[in-house]
Amino acid sequence: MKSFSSHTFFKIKSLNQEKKLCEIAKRVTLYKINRIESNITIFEVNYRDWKNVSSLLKGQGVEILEVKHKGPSHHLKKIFTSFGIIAGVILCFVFYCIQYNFIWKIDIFGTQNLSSDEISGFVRKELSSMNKNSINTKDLEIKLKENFERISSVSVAIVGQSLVISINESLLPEEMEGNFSPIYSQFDGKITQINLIQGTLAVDEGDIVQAGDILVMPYIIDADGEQRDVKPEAIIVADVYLQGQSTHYDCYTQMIETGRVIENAQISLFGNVLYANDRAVDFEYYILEESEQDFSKNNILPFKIKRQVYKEVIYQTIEKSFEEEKEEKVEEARQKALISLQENEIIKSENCVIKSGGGVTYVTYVITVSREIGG
Amino acid sequence: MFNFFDEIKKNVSKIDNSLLGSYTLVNISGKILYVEGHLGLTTLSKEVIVFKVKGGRIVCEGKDLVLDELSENTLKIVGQISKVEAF
Repeated sequence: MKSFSSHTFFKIKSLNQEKKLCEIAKRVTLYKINRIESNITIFEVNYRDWKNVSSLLKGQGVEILEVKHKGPSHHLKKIFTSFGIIAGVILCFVFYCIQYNFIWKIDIFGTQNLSSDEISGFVRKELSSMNKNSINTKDLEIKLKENFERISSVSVAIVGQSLVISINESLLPEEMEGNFSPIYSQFDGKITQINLIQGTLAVDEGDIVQAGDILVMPYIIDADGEQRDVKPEAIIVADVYLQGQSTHYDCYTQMIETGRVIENAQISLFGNVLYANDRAVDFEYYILEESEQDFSKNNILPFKIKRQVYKEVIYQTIEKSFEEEKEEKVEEARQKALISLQENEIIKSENCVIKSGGGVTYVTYVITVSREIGG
Repeated sequence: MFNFFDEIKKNVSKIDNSLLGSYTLVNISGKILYVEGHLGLTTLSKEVIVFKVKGGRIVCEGKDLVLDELSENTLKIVGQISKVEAF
């Protein structure tokens, strides 16, 4: 054994040591075997074999009095095991220090019309390296402003390991944006009042318009006869007619549920019916309601239960003259018309039109209100 | 440990084939006894070390004897070797 190699010193106590040492020597080479007493022997083995020797000795029932490790391998291992945590912390710290010098992500704030991906791509392209020390934020700000016209102001800062880009986009006046749309009528009605602020009128007072008709065009003709786009603005008030309708039949058939019900159920698994409760349905007329659902929640097997509910109905012919129901039908039509009434809107007039023919009577209720229809 | 005696034995095996499986003793100046082909240790003390070989046993007597190395079939005794006998 080389003097500088790592080795382990054993001191053992046992009887019949010769035999036991020979057994161990068949697997591991022993060194410097010295019997210091009749039943105590010391010897050395290579450090790499010490665990093996130790287990062999124990297996033979030998009492190990002392174990000592010597040499560089043992010391290195001790350092790595005893100081493993410290070494890990140091390695992490070193790694942190190295990676802290790099930018890992780019955060972009304040974009509305501009694409963050586009800016991020531009910045990545401009940066030769993600090393913090090599990033000139002022230079990057200038390049961003030069390459993106819509950027009004930009600030670039390195925060931690992020490159934070705050952008203020320039707001163009609507005139510069162009593309104005006309003012459309939102309701049907008769125009009663026009107050044009900007644009060209497409209607006059007294005109009847429908929802969707153009009221004001988005341009003006200047003194030179040229058309100039402007944002149309106007206050246009019209009499708006809110309609509600109800219908009366002199004679009609009504379906009435008698309240008698027959309910059948089937339990199935994978389409195979396991249980069925099929009762005969003796109703002349009925309504069938079917439903299928899982038999229970969290069921491993997908049992299904199918329910069929038969509700008995009868048909009744009802004859009633319009005069008997007139007030109800008029009120019904009025209520339908009032649904379209807006909050705090003043009713100018109310009219009811009744038309009959072929046993059917139509009640049309019209409420006239004054309402701003465009702008 | 380099076993160069095997090579010598192979060369002389044409003369006596039984030498191949036998033992080898090398006594260096009465200070070191190197053995190849031992079959196990029987006695270990500072004065006497006995080990088995093919066909008998070897007794090594001396003073402050230390079994410097012991492997499956080789051993090395270090100390003041006064006598080595084969039985």
